[in-house]
Amino acid sequence: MVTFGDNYSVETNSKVLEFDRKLAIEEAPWIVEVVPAIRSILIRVDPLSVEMEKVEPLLLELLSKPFPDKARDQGRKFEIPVCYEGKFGPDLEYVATKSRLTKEKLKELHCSCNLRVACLGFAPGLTYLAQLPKEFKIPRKESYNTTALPGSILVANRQTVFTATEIPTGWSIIGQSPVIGFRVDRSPHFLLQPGDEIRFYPISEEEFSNFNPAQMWDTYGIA
Amino acid sequence: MASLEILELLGPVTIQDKGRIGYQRFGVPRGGAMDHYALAEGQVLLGNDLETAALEFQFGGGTFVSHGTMTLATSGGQMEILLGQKPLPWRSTFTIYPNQVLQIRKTQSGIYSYLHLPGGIDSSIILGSRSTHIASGLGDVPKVGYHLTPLSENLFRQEGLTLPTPEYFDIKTLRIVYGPHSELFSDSDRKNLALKQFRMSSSRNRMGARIKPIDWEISALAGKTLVSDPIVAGDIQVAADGTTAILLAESQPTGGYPRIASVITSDLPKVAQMQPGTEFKFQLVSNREAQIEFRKTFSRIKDLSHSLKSLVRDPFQMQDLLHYNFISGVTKGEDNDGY
Repeated sequence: MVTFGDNYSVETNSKVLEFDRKLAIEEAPWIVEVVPAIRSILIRVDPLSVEMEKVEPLLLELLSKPFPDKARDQGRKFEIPVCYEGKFGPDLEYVATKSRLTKEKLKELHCSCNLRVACLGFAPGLTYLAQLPKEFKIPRKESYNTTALPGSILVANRQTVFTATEIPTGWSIIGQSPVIGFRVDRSPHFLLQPGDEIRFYPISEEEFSNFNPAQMWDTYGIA
Repeated sequence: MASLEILELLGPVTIQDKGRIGYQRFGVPRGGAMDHYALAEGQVLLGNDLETAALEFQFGGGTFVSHGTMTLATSGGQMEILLGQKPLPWRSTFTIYPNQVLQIRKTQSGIYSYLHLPGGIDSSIILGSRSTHIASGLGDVPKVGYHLTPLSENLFRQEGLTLPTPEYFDIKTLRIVYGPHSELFSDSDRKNLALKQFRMSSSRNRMGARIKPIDWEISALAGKTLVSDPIVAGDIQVAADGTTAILLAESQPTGGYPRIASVITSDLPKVAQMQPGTEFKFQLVSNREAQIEFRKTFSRIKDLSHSLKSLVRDPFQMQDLLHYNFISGVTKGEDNDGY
């Protein structure tokens, strides 16, 4: 594992993704799998095809190589619809109270941010988005007993999470999107990737039920 | 089409192969067989591809009825097995005939056991693997009424084949290497980790196994909240309240708790099969030693077919018969003793 900093920052996360792309371009046969995260990257090597003591120097050498221009700026931009109303945003009121904003203002603020896909983790297609303004600095709930449906928008500690499968959570659920970022019947299976930029926009309950996510997959689904 | 129908399940049962490789970056746990060595043993017994899928039992067991004739194999933690009324040896191959009932129960050693079909199990492949991952709804979930279908059309394999019981079921030392979080822990914690005894708890599943230090506590790094880092199977995680666990095949892809060290890949089958209450120790090794062990395990698996033995020896295959003295006297043919 290689770490680039202690916490999330755009610079740190960009270094992770830059290294990820370098590794992808390199296609070293001794690398089995690469897992970029928020501030670190895991490089799983094949112990049959490389000597362990050579791994670190090989990675350092790769790291110091100049970054190829063609790999730059691959972050795509997405506009994702979210319904914050009624059953879709059960914790909206709670978060609004905590952040001392009206529900309307909170929605507006959540939709005004350009969020960056920092990494995917925890569950298939679950996307960690950074970073929300300080109004969203609210702690996780104590119990983990709430179920978040696929497409849920969760918030805690200035982060927002966009789920793609049903998960148990201690985060606050403020909305739900008709777009689900993981589909078994599509290739690639995952709509979003680290480095992508997301902006949410509010939709009504009626628009939620009429939304056809297939279009978004057709437009963006090819990496 | 031949199949094995599930009539009853007595504990958690899943379909497992090598797991989902290359999808951890998308948040998908790797999963796969908890005991990859046992998975390979069963496939070698049937002459299958090493990484094809088998049925994995976690304690418990199940009852099955056969629709067709096919050769099956068992591996992993030893269980009681009855074909009709007939008890069979574990870690061996046998042929089941139409309408015969197979009962597998009562784990005798280890925790995870496997039932193998000719060519493996033909179930749905999602993200490159047949592994069942219940939490995220990936892969087929074996239930009562589910038909396990063999992947190969060649349903007959050599029956009565067996492999020797591997020794890792009795080994109480787990080898570890330091990882990226090790230095966050105090010198004394790291020293104790490789010095003192631990006990395997009963709180465990495919995601991880909780362990308890005997007569000491690892100081949880209270206040030290890490940003989520990728997890690998074998990581020894210390949660904020001090709870210590070895993360296993189905662990989350990323996690925010620090990990003091990692159990080496070659020793993961030992962790998988270690029964609750077992006392064990960790032994610190270098990355180089871990690599040598990995290569040894790899060649042991590759050479497994050389260890195959027949349960009943076929007289035509017995070279040493030529040396036996069968006639040690003369008989008039009137003494019918033994007939």
